[in-house]
Amino acid sequence: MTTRYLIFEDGTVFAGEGFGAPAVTFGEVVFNTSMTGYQEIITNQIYDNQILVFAQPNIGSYGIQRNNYETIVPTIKGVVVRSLSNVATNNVRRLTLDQYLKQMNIPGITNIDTRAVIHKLRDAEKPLKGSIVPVPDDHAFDQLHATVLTNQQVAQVATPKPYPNPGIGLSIVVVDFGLKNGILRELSRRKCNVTVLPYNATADEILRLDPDGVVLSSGPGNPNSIKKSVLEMIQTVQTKVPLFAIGLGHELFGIANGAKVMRYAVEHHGMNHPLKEIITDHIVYANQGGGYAIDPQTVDRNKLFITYTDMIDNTIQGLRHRQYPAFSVQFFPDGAPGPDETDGLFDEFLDMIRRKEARR
Amino acid sequence: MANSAIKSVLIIGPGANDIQHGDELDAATYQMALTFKRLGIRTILADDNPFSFSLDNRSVIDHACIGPLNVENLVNLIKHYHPHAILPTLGNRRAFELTQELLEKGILQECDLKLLGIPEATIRQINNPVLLSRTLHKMEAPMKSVVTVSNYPDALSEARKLGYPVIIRSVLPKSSSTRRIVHDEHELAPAVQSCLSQSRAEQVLVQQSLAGYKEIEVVVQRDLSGTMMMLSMVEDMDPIGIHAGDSIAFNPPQTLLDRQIQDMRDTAFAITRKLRIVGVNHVQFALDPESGKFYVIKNSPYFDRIVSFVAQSTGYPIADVSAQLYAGKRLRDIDLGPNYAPHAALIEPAMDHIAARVPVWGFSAIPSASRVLGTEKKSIGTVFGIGRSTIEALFKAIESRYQEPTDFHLAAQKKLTDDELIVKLVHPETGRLFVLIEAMDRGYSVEELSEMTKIDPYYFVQINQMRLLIREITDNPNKEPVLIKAKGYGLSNQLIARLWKTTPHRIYQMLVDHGLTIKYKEVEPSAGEFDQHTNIFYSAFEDENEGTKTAQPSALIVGTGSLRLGLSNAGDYFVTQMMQELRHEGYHIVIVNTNPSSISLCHDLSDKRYIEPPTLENIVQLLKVEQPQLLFIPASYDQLLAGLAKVDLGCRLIVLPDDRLPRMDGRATKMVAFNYVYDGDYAYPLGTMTNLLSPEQLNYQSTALRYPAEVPNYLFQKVSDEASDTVMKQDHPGLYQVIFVATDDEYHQLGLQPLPLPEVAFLSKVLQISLPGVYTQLLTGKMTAGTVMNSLKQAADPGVVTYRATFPFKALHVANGVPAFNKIIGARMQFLTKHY
Repeated sequence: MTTRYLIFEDGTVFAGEGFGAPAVTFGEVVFNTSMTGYQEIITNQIYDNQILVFAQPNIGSYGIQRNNYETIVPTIKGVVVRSLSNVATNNVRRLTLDQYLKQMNIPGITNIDTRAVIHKLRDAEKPLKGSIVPVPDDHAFDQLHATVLTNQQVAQVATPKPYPNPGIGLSIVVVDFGLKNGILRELSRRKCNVTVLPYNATADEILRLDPDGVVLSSGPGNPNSIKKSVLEMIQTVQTKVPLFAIGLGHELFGIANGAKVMRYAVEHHGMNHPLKEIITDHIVYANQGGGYAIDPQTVDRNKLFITYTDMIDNTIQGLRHRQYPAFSVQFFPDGAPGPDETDGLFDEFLDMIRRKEARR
Repeated sequence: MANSAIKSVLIIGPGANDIQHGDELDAATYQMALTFKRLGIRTILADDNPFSFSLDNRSVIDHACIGPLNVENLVNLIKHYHPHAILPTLGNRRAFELTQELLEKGILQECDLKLLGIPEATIRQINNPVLLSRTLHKMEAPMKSVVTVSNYPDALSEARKLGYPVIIRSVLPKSSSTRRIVHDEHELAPAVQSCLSQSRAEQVLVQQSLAGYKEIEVVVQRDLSGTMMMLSMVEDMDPIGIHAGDSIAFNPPQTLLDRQIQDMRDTAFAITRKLRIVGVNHVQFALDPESGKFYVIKNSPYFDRIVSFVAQSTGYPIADVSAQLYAGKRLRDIDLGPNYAPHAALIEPAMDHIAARVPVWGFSAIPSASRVLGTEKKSIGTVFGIGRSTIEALFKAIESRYQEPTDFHLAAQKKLTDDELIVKLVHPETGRLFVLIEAMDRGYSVEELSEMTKIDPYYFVQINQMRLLIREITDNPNKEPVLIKAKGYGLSNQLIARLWKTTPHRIYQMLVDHGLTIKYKEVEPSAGEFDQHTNIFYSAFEDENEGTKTAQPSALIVGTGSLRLGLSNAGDYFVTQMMQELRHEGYHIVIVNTNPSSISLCHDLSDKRYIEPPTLENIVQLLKVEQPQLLFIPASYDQLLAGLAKVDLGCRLIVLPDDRLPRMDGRATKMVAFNYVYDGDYAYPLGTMTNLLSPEQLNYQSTALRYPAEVPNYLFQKVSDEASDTVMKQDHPGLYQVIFVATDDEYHQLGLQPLPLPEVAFLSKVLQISLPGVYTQLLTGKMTAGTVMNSLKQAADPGVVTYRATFPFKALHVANGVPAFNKIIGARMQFLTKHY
C-alpha cells in the first residue's frame, strides 16, 4: 500500500496508507460510531459528497456480502479507517472491501488515527471539508479550497426513471431521493407491490398509479437545495393517500408543512442514541445519520405533532400530521445496519392504509 | 418509584474463588455497595471469602458478615438485620440456589423481603434448565433440538432428522458419564444402548450438536419500566466445543454481520423481557456460520467474568448502573456524573478500540492435569489487551500473561513433528494460538485450518499477518520502518529484541532516537462522540496523546495480574487495601493491570488505570509520564524488577511480596506460627495460627489454618519471647511470622518469613485491621505504635476462626490431588463462635 493523506481545509494533515481507488476526492468529513455493518454504511447514499470516518477501528473483516448492499452504485467520497482487514469470507463470490472500493472508484485510507480525527470533527462544531490525496502539497490544498461541493446531490443519486419492485400486496409508490435498499427490503418482506419513482415525480404522476400509500425515501444533503415542486408534490399527496417519510423525506415532509430545518453543529451518525417515542414513553434505538433536523421552534403545532425525540441532543426524530394519515421519522427504521426496534413503523404505515381503505 | 421503600439489602456473596470466578464479583459488590450507599441503602454482605475486599470495607458495606453460604446462616442474618430486600446477582449460580431455598422455606414472604433484579419465577427457571427451555420454546426463541426416545429405532430416525453429529444422553442417569457425541450411524447403536442402560427412566435424549458453531456472548440490561439496551457483544475465537472461558475472546465481535448481530440482540431482549429481569443479563448463543441460524445456549442474569470484561473494555459503569436499576431507578433517570455526557447511561457503548481477552492457565502448579481443551473450563484466570487492531489487542493480551510470554511459545512449537502438530490442531490444547501460527508457517492454508478448527477464516488471516510480521521483523534487523510497523501492531520491545538478537534496551533506544513515542488513548464508551472520561487508558503508536500526568503526589502500582494458583486473589486484596491507605495518606493512585476481573480496576479506588502489559518498556514510559513518588512492583515480576534495577527510576521502588510461599508447606507435622507487625523497634503480636489435622488424610494440612493456635500456657510466654526476639533481629520493618514445629511438650523454631499474602488477608479479617494498610504505613513512615496498638485492642475477641483453602482438582479432573500452597485457587473462613 502507498502512503496517502487525509487533509483538511484548515491545513491539518493525517498520513495513512491508501486502499481502494487511487482517486483524489473532496468532501465533507463526517464520522460514524456504529459498531456493525460497514458495508451497509458505505453503500448508503446519504454519504454522497461526504468522506466517512469509521470510529470502529476494524473495518473489512468479512469482506463484501451480496445481501448487504444498500445501493448498487455508492457515491460516498471516501472511507477513512484505523485498521483495514482485507478479508473475503463470502463463499459465493470473494470480494474484499479494498477490491470493492477499487471497482466503485472510491478511495480509502487506513492506519489513520481516527480517534484524533473524530475529536477534531467533534470540536470543530461545523462541517469540515477534506480531501484524500497522494501528496499534501500546496496544490492539494489549493484544490481543496477551490472545491465547491454540488448541492444537486439528490439529482445525482436518485433514479432518473421509474422502475417496479413487484409484489402481491398493497401498492406502494416510493419516491427516490437517494433510496436505501432497506426500505425496499422492508416493503418486500411485507409483500408490497412497489413502484419506485424519480425524486421529481409530480403528484399527478404518483396518483395516476393509484397507490395505496406513498413512501418518501431517505437521501443525501440539504433539503433546502431541493426544488419547490417537490414540496408541492408532498402537499398534494398527503391529502390523498397515506404517507410515510424517512430521513431526507422526513425533512421535506416537515418543510412542506411549514417547518424549517437546522444543521447540526456536529453531524450525528450512529446507532446508540436513545430515542423516545413520545406517545408510549418507550425508549428505542435506531440507525441514525445525517446533518439536518427539523427546528422545533418552527413546527406548526396545529398541523404537526412530534412523535420521537433524540434524548441526547433533543432533536426531533419523528413527526405526524394532525389532519392527514401521514407521518415521518428522521432515523432509518429499516436498520441495515442497526437495531430492528423501529421496523414496526412499516407495519404501522400499512395498517394506516388498511384502516383508511376499510373506512371507504 | 416502585422500590423506593428499600432501605437495606442483603447481598449473597460468591464464596471461595474457584475455576468459574475470580474477584469480578467482589469488584461488582464493592462498586454496587458504593452506589447503594449514595442512595441511602444499607448493605448486609454474606460471604466467607478471606480474600474479599468488600468484606473489609465497613465504611461501604454496613454489615460485613463472614459466615458460611448456607440457608441457615442467611436466615439468621435476615432475622438479625431485617433487610428489605435480597440481591441474588452477585453470588454466581449458588446465590440463585440459595434464594430458591429461602423462597421454598417461605422466609422471603415471612420476612417481607423483596427480590432485587430477578423475579421469583425467573429464579426457578434459571435453577431449572427444563423449566427455562420450556419458556424459551413457548416464546419461540431458537433452541437446539432435544428429543426424548425410549428405543433405538426412534433414536435412529431422530438422529437422521437432526443430522450428525448428535449427542446422546441418558434421562435420569444412574452415573454421571452418560454423554456421548455420535458422528455416524455406526456409533449410534452402542451409544443408545449404553445410555438406555444407564437411564433410570430407560429413556435417552437425542440432541442436536452445536459443536463447531461460533460462540457469542451478549450482555444486555433492562430497567423496571422495560427499557432495554445492549452493552456489548463478545465473540469467542474458538468454536463451541471449547469452553468460552478458555477461548480467546474479542469485544466487539470481529466476524459478525449486522443481520446476525441484530437478530441475536432481538432474541436477548425478548428473553430478558420475558424473564422480567432488571439489571444485567448475559445470554450466550451458538451461531452456525453456514446457515446463519443461531441458538440460545445459556442465560445468566447475574454478574460474571464476561460482564466485568465488558465493563472494563467499554468504560460503561455496569455495576453502578445496575445498583441504581435494582434500587428502582429507570435508565433515563440515571446520572453518571460530570465525566459522562447527559443521559450517558442510555447510550449503548460504542468502541473505537478492540479488546482481546486470553485465558491464563494453572498447569505449572498442577502439571498432571490434561491440557486438552474441551467443554469444561480449565483456565484459572484471564488477562486482556486493548489495541486499535485485532492483532495489536491480541499481542498485548498475550504479553500480559507475565509467566507465558510470546517468544517462549513461538520457539516451543518449532520442535513439534508434523504428526504432533496435526494432533494438536485437531485436539486443541492450551497455547493453541502458537500452534496455529506454526501451522501457517508450515504451509497450511487458511481454508484447511478453518475447516480443521472451525475457527473463522478471518482469524487465520490475522494470524497469518502476525506470522508474516514476525518474519518481516526477523529479516530486517534494525530497520526503522519495520520497527514502526511492529510497534503499531503492539509488539513488545522484548519480542522485537529477541527477533533481532539484541536487547530490549537497544530497541528502546532506537525508538527514542527516531522520536517514536508511546501515546495514550482513553477507553470511553462513546467512541469519541462526546467529551467523556473514564480515566482508563491504553497505549497506542498514533498521533494524538490523551494521557496527562496525574496530580501529585502519586503512586504508580503494578497490580498482580490474573488470578494465580497459590495466591488466588490475595494479591488483588493486598494491592487494593494498599491503594486505599495510600489514598488516605494523600497519594493519587495510578494502577497498571490487565486482569478485567481485578477489583484493583474499580473506578472508585484509583485516579487512573492503565490497561498495559507489565513490561519494562511500558513501566519506564509510565514513570516518565506520571513521575510518581512511589512505584510498587510485585516481587513475582522478577524480569521486570531486574530490568528496572538498571534504570534511574526517579522514585522510590517498593516490591510487593506476592511471591512468598509459606515455609510450612509440604510438612505433615503440627506447626504453629506467631505473627507480628514489626516497625523496626518493636514487634506487635498479631496472634498465633496453627495448621489443622485433616481427618481424611490423617496429617496436618498447611492449607487449613486455625486462629489462634492452642499453645499450652506453660510454653506460651517462652515461645512467644523467642518469636519476638527473632522478629526484632530483622533489618526491615514488615509483617512477619515465626514458625515452630510443635510436638507435645516442645516447640522447635523452624524459621521466620514475611507473612504470606493469603494469611495477611485472613488475619486482617480475624483482627478487623487492615494489615496491608499497616504494611503501607510502615513503608511510608506513617505508622505509629499507638494506632496499631489501638486497632488491635479495639478488635473484638474473634474467638476461634478457621481458614480452609480450596483447590481446582475436581474441576481439572486431577485424581488424588495433594493440597499444597502453590495449588490454592480460593479459600473459606469461618468464625466458630457467633460473630456478627
